[in-house]
Amino acid sequence: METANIAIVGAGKGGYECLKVLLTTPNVLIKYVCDIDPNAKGVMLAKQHKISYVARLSEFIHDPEVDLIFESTGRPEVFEELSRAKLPTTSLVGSGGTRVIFSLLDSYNEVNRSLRSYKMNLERRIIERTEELEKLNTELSKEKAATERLYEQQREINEEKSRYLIHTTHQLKAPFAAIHNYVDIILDGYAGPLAQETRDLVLKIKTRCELLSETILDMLELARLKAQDLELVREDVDLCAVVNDVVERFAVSAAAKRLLVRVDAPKEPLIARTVGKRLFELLAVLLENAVKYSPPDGSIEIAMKVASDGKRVISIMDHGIGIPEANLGKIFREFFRSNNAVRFEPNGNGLGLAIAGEIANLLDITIEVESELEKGTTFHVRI
Amino acid sequence: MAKKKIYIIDDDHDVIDAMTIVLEKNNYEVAAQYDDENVVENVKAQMPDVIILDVMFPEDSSAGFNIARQLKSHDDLQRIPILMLSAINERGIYVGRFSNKDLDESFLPVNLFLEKPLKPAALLEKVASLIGK
Repeated sequence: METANIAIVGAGKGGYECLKVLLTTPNVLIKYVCDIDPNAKGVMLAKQHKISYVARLSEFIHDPEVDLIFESTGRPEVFEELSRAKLPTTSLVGSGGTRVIFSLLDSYNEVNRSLRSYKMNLERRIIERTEELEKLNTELSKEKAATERLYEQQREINEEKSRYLIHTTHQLKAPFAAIHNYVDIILDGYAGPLAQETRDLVLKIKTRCELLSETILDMLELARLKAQDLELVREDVDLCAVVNDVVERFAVSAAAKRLLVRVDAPKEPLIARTVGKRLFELLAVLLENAVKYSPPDGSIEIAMKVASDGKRVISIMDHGIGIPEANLGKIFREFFRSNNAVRFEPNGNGLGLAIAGEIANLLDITIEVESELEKGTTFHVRI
Repeated sequence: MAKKKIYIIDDDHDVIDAMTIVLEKNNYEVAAQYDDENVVENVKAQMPDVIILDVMFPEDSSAGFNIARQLKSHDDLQRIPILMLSAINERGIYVGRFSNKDLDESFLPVNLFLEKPLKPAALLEKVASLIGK
């Protein structure tokens, strides 16, 4: 847009207002301010802005560069004189038009100013927000690095734990295996014939060896479960198949006590998303206990169903010695055994249910127990 | 008939002694080494009918696996059956007992597993089954 050269005639109140508006209007050059009174308010403002001040019309009226004259004295004779004397290329706006134009211009400038200040505000806020975000980002990176460091430390600790477990395994198992080997060799007669009393005593050693081996393995298993040092790959597992495997595993020990193990399984496969191998271990603990704490010639029932909440429930019911009510809350503790259990079966380490409880924790399985002394115990495994 | 020779590689003297008692009483000839060094050379010198191999050795908790792979990669040794002892898996962690279902030529080229503690009858049965092959 081309710059308009302007002259303002009359620098009193009206001219002053014109001047003020024009000074903030873009693409406008105020070439002259004309008034008879050199002390008029508008003249003072013009001088501050280094605008040419003239006292007479004749001093600028023939300047061909003037595009537009604003007449703001409001006096008809001044307007007439200007109309007469101005060059044909110069436009003239009378005082009425000037007032309208300047009120429009003023509003326009006001809007512009608001827009500018809004824009500046916006820019300032964008800058502030950007700075805040950058600060936040830096903090987040620091936190992330700290978390990664922690994670790394945790991983190292876990590896250290695993290594410790391996070496503990070896340190505990190897000497034990050696003792056990010799006991077996003696019992098999490789060291010569055994008197019956000697044989009985060595058999006691062998029994305790076997128990201690089991305990070492159980302790390590428990430590690994607690350290969550296990690969847990969940798959669709047919619970009927797992139950059948568990029953098969204890078939010999159940038969030795002439126990009947009845499985009430649905005809269709009963599928659950879980870790089959660990579930097997959990159920194995429960069935082993059921066999161990049942009197001979009894029975054990295993039932499977889908509960109303969609959970799969496996229930293992025995008719054995039962658990004293006061102990029901303690049975998942490590090494805990009830007195009646120890009396009935001295050999045991109190780790089985602790292992089952840890597996249940890891797999989000709940184990509920109902028991009555001398009547039996039922475990409900909800998967 | 010449005695069949069994070569035992295990770091535990007592385990070797116990197996030796059982095997020699049952008419096998037994040689052994107590560490995991120079196994291929030693086996070549002995040329046994069966190798009994432990997994864990003091300096390397899975040395037995590497030894098995080394032995099976030698043309003149690969036909010698390996009976592997112990119950530690390759990640070094006890995962339950190995069973013969775990046999996998590419992962672990051994022929049978034998659980510790050893039962004399199981040892004899497995050795006999490997020689009978």
